[in-house]
Amino acid sequence: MAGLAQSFLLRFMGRTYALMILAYPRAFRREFGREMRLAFSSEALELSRRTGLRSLFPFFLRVSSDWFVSVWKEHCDMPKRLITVVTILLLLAVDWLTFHDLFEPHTVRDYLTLAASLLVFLYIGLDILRRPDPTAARSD
Amino acid sequence: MAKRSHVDSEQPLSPAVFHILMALATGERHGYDIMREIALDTLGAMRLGPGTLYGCLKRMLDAGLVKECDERPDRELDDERRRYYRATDSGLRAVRAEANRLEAAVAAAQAKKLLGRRFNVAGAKR
Repeated sequence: MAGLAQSFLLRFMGRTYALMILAYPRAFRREFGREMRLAFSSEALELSRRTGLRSLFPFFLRVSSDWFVSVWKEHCDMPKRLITVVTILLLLAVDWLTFHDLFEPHTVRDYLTLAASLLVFLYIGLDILRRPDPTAARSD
Repeated sequence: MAKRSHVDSEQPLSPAVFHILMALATGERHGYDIMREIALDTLGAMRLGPGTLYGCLKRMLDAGLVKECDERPDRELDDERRRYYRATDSGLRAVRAEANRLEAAVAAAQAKKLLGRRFNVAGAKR
Protein backbone atom coordinates (compact mmCIF):
# COMPACT_ATOMS: atom_id res chain seq x y z
CA MET A 1 0.00 0.00 0.00
CA ALA A 2 2.80 2.38 0.96
CA GLY A 3 4.64 1.46 -2.22
CA LEU A 4 1.58 2.32 -4.25
CA ALA A 5 1.17 5.67 -2.53
CA GLN A 6 4.86 6.35 -3.01
CA SER A 7 4.81 5.63 -6.72
CA PHE A 8 1.61 7.68 -7.17
CA LEU A 9 3.08 10.63 -5.30
CA LEU A 10 6.35 10.45 -7.22
CA ARG A 11 4.51 10.35 -10.54
CA PHE A 12 2.25 13.21 -9.51
CA MET A 13 5.18 15.35 -8.39
CA GLY A 14 7.12 14.50 -11.55
CA ARG A 15 4.21 15.62 -13.73
CA THR A 16 3.69 18.75 -11.67
CA TYR A 17 7.36 19.63 -12.06
CA ALA A 18 7.17 18.95 -15.81
CA LEU A 19 4.36 21.54 -15.95
CA MET A 20 6.36 23.97 -13.84
CA ILE A 21 9.26 23.72 -16.29
CA LEU A 22 6.98 25.19 -18.98
CA ALA A 23 7.38 28.54 -17.21
CA TYR A 24 11.06 28.77 -18.22
CA PRO A 25 12.01 30.52 -21.48
CA ARG A 26 11.67 28.20 -24.45
CA ALA A 27 15.38 28.13 -25.33
CA PHE A 28 16.35 27.25 -21.77
CA ARG A 29 13.63 24.64 -21.53
CA ARG A 30 14.71 22.99 -24.77
CA GLU A 31 18.30 22.80 -23.68
CA PHE A 32 17.89 21.71 -20.07
CA GLY A 33 14.23 20.80 -19.47
CA ARG A 34 14.64 17.06 -19.88
CA GLU A 35 17.67 16.94 -17.61
CA MET A 36 15.94 19.08 -15.00
CA ARG A 37 13.04 16.63 -14.90
CA LEU A 38 15.52 13.78 -14.63
CA ALA A 39 17.41 15.45 -11.77
CA PHE A 40 14.12 16.20 -10.00
CA SER A 41 12.80 12.65 -10.28
CA SER A 42 16.16 11.13 -9.29
CA GLU A 43 16.32 13.23 -6.13
CA ALA A 44 12.66 12.59 -5.28
CA LEU A 45 13.13 8.85 -5.72
CA GLU A 46 16.29 8.74 -3.64
CA LEU A 47 14.71 10.82 -0.87
CA SER A 48 11.58 8.68 -0.74
CA ARG A 49 13.67 5.50 -0.55
CA ARG A 50 15.97 6.85 2.12
CA THR A 51 13.66 8.80 4.39
CA GLY A 52 10.13 7.96 3.30
CA LEU A 53 7.25 9.95 1.92
CA ARG A 54 7.28 12.70 4.52
CA SER A 55 10.57 14.10 3.25
CA LEU A 56 9.02 14.66 -0.19
CA PHE A 57 6.94 17.62 0.97
CA PRO A 58 9.85 19.75 2.24
CA PHE A 59 11.74 18.68 -0.87
CA PHE A 60 8.94 19.87 -3.12
CA LEU A 61 8.71 23.17 -1.23
CA ARG A 62 12.46 23.68 -1.65
CA VAL A 63 12.29 22.88 -5.37
CA SER A 64 9.28 25.19 -5.78
CA SER A 65 11.09 28.14 -4.21
CA ASP A 66 14.12 27.37 -6.39
CA TRP A 67 11.79 27.23 -9.41
CA PHE A 68 10.25 30.60 -8.58
CA VAL A 69 13.62 32.34 -8.30
CA SER A 70 15.24 30.63 -11.29
CA VAL A 71 12.26 31.21 -13.62
CA TRP A 72 12.43 34.90 -12.79
CA LYS A 73 16.18 34.98 -13.33
CA GLU A 74 16.05 33.18 -16.68
CA HIS A 75 13.31 35.47 -17.96
CA CYS A 76 15.21 38.56 -16.82
CA ASP A 77 18.14 37.43 -18.95
CA MET A 78 16.06 37.22 -22.14
CA PRO A 79 14.23 40.59 -22.42
CA LYS A 80 17.39 42.61 -21.75
CA ARG A 81 18.96 41.24 -24.91
CA LEU A 82 15.76 41.63 -26.86
CA ILE A 83 15.27 45.25 -25.77
CA THR A 84 18.89 46.06 -26.63
CA VAL A 85 18.64 44.58 -30.12
CA VAL A 86 15.28 46.25 -30.82
CA THR A 87 16.57 49.63 -29.58
CA ILE A 88 19.66 49.43 -31.78
CA LEU A 89 17.65 48.43 -34.88
CA LEU A 90 15.07 51.16 -34.24
CA LEU A 91 17.68 53.88 -33.79
CA LEU A 92 19.61 52.72 -36.86
CA ALA A 93 16.38 52.90 -38.88
CA VAL A 94 15.62 56.42 -37.56
CA ASP A 95 19.16 57.57 -38.31
CA TRP A 96 19.04 56.10 -41.78
CA LEU A 97 15.69 57.77 -42.52
CA THR A 98 17.04 61.08 -41.28
CA PHE A 99 20.42 61.04 -42.97
CA HIS A 100 20.18 58.70 -45.96
CA ASP A 101 20.28 61.71 -48.25
CA LEU A 102 23.39 63.61 -47.15
CA PHE A 103 22.78 66.52 -49.50
CA GLU A 104 19.34 67.17 -48.17
CA PRO A 105 19.29 70.11 -45.75
CA HIS A 106 19.04 68.95 -42.14
CA THR A 107 17.49 70.65 -39.19
CA VAL A 108 18.87 70.98 -35.67
CA ARG A 109 16.33 68.35 -34.62
CA ASP A 110 17.93 65.86 -37.06
CA TYR A 111 21.37 66.43 -35.54
CA LEU A 112 19.93 66.14 -32.04
CA THR A 113 18.34 62.80 -33.05
CA LEU A 114 21.71 61.58 -34.33
CA ALA A 115 23.50 62.75 -31.18
CA ALA A 116 20.89 61.07 -28.96
CA SER A 117 21.18 57.77 -30.80
CA LEU A 118 24.98 57.91 -30.65
CA LEU A 119 24.73 58.46 -26.90
CA VAL A 120 22.41 55.45 -26.61
CA PHE A 121 24.86 53.32 -28.63
CA LEU A 122 27.70 54.52 -26.39
CA TYR A 123 25.66 53.68 -23.28
CA ILE A 124 24.83 50.18 -24.57
CA GLY A 125 28.46 49.57 -25.51
CA LEU A 126 29.76 50.69 -22.10
CA ASP A 127 27.05 48.66 -20.36
CA ILE A 128 28.13 45.52 -22.22
CA LEU A 129 31.80 46.18 -21.36
CA ARG A 130 31.10 46.89 -17.71
CA ARG A 131 28.51 44.20 -17.16
CA PRO A 132 29.76 41.81 -14.49
CA ASP A 133 30.37 38.24 -15.45
CA PRO A 134 27.13 36.24 -15.17
CA THR A 135 28.89 33.72 -12.98
CA ALA A 136 30.05 36.36 -10.52
CA ALA A 137 28.66 36.54 -7.04
CA ARG A 138 26.31 39.49 -7.35
CA SER A 139 24.41 38.30 -10.36
CA ASP A 140 23.81 34.88 -8.95
CA MET B 1 25.11 36.26 -25.58
CA ALA B 2 28.50 35.76 -27.14
CA LYS B 3 30.60 32.98 -25.71
CA ARG B 4 33.49 34.12 -23.58
CA SER B 5 36.62 32.13 -24.10
CA HIS B 6 38.37 33.64 -21.14
CA VAL B 7 37.10 34.38 -17.68
CA ASP B 8 38.95 36.63 -15.32
CA SER B 9 39.98 34.38 -12.46
CA GLU B 10 40.34 37.48 -10.28
CA GLN B 11 36.59 37.89 -10.27
CA PRO B 12 34.84 36.33 -7.25
CA LEU B 13 32.54 33.39 -7.96
CA SER B 14 29.09 32.98 -6.49
CA PRO B 15 28.76 30.20 -3.89
CA ALA B 16 26.70 28.09 -6.32
CA VAL B 17 29.25 28.42 -9.14
CA PHE B 18 32.13 27.78 -6.74
CA HIS B 19 30.56 24.57 -5.45
CA ILE B 20 29.63 23.37 -8.95
CA LEU B 21 33.24 23.84 -10.03
CA MET B 22 34.42 22.08 -6.87
CA ALA B 23 32.17 19.14 -7.72
CA LEU B 24 33.54 19.05 -11.26
CA ALA B 25 37.18 19.45 -10.19
CA THR B 26 37.55 15.71 -9.66
CA GLY B 27 36.02 14.64 -12.96
CA GLU B 28 32.95 14.73 -15.14
CA ARG B 29 29.50 14.48 -13.57
CA HIS B 30 25.91 14.75 -14.64
CA GLY B 31 23.48 17.28 -13.13
CA TYR B 32 22.05 15.18 -10.33
CA ASP B 33 25.50 13.92 -9.42
CA ILE B 34 26.64 17.54 -9.09
CA MET B 35 23.68 18.27 -6.79
CA ARG B 36 24.55 15.28 -4.60
CA GLU B 37 28.23 16.16 -4.47
CA ILE B 38 27.47 19.74 -3.41
CA ALA B 39 25.16 18.51 -0.64
CA LEU B 40 27.96 16.19 0.55
CA ASP B 41 30.68 18.88 0.32
CA THR B 42 28.63 21.35 2.34
CA LEU B 43 27.29 18.76 4.79
CA GLY B 44 23.80 19.47 3.50
CA ALA B 45 24.02 23.23 4.09
CA MET B 46 23.68 23.95 0.38
CA ARG B 47 21.18 22.03 -1.72
CA LEU B 48 20.82 23.32 -5.24
CA GLY B 49 17.51 22.89 -7.00
CA PRO B 50 17.44 21.88 -10.69
CA GLY B 51 16.53 25.44 -11.78
CA THR B 52 19.50 27.06 -10.06
CA LEU B 53 21.87 24.28 -11.08
CA TYR B 54 21.04 24.36 -14.79
CA GLY B 55 20.80 28.17 -14.84
CA CYS B 56 24.34 28.29 -13.45
CA LEU B 57 25.52 25.58 -15.85
CA LYS B 58 24.10 27.53 -18.78
CA ARG B 59 26.00 30.66 -17.76
CA MET B 60 29.11 28.65 -16.98
CA LEU B 61 28.98 27.02 -20.42
CA ASP B 62 28.68 30.49 -21.96
CA ALA B 63 31.60 31.74 -19.88
CA GLY B 64 33.76 28.73 -20.78
CA LEU B 65 34.10 27.53 -17.18
CA VAL B 66 32.62 24.12 -17.94
CA LYS B 67 32.05 22.09 -21.05
CA GLU B 68 29.92 19.17 -21.98
CA CYS B 69 31.68 15.82 -22.22
CA ASP B 70 31.49 13.57 -25.22
CA GLU B 71 32.87 10.61 -23.34
CA ARG B 72 30.40 8.63 -21.31
CA PRO B 73 30.98 6.23 -18.47
CA ASP B 74 30.09 2.54 -18.62
CA ARG B 75 26.79 2.26 -20.45
CA GLU B 76 25.42 -0.23 -17.95
CA LEU B 77 25.86 2.28 -15.16
CA ASP B 78 24.73 5.22 -17.23
CA ASP B 79 21.42 6.71 -18.28
CA GLU B 80 21.62 7.77 -21.94
CA ARG B 81 19.45 10.81 -21.27
CA ARG B 82 22.01 12.35 -18.95
CA ARG B 83 24.55 14.90 -20.09
CA TYR B 84 27.95 15.05 -18.46
CA TYR B 85 29.90 18.20 -17.68
CA ARG B 86 33.52 18.83 -16.84
CA ALA B 87 35.47 21.86 -15.65
CA THR B 88 37.65 23.53 -18.27
CA ASP B 89 41.17 24.80 -17.52
CA SER B 90 39.69 28.25 -17.12
CA GLY B 91 37.13 26.85 -14.67
CA LEU B 92 39.82 25.11 -12.64
CA ARG B 93 41.85 28.32 -12.51
CA ALA B 94 38.79 30.23 -11.34
CA VAL B 95 37.94 27.71 -8.60
CA ARG B 96 41.56 27.67 -7.38
CA ALA B 97 41.62 31.46 -7.25
CA GLU B 98 38.34 31.49 -5.32
CA ALA B 99 39.60 28.83 -2.89
CA ASN B 100 42.69 30.97 -2.25
CA ARG B 101 40.49 34.00 -1.63
CA LEU B 102 38.39 32.02 0.83
CA GLU B 103 41.51 30.71 2.56
CA ALA B 104 42.76 34.27 2.99
CA ALA B 105 39.37 35.31 4.34
CA VAL B 106 39.38 32.41 6.83
CA ALA B 107 42.92 33.33 7.91
CA ALA B 108 41.86 36.93 8.43
CA ALA B 109 38.81 35.82 10.42
CA GLN B 110 40.99 33.60 12.53
CA ALA B 111 43.47 36.41 13.16
CA LYS B 112 40.55 38.48 14.47
CA LYS B 113 39.50 35.54 16.65
CA LEU B 114 36.20 35.16 14.87
CA LEU B 115 36.68 31.42 14.46
CA GLY B 116 36.65 28.70 17.04
CA ARG B 117 39.81 26.80 17.99
CA ARG B 118 38.79 23.78 15.99
CA PHE B 119 39.77 25.48 12.73
CA ASN B 120 43.31 25.88 11.53
CA VAL B 121 44.41 28.45 8.97
CA ALA B 122 43.47 26.24 6.04
CA GLY B 123 39.97 25.92 7.42
CA ALA B 124 40.29 22.22 8.20
CA LYS B 125 38.93 20.82 11.42
CA ARG B 126 41.52 19.79 13.93
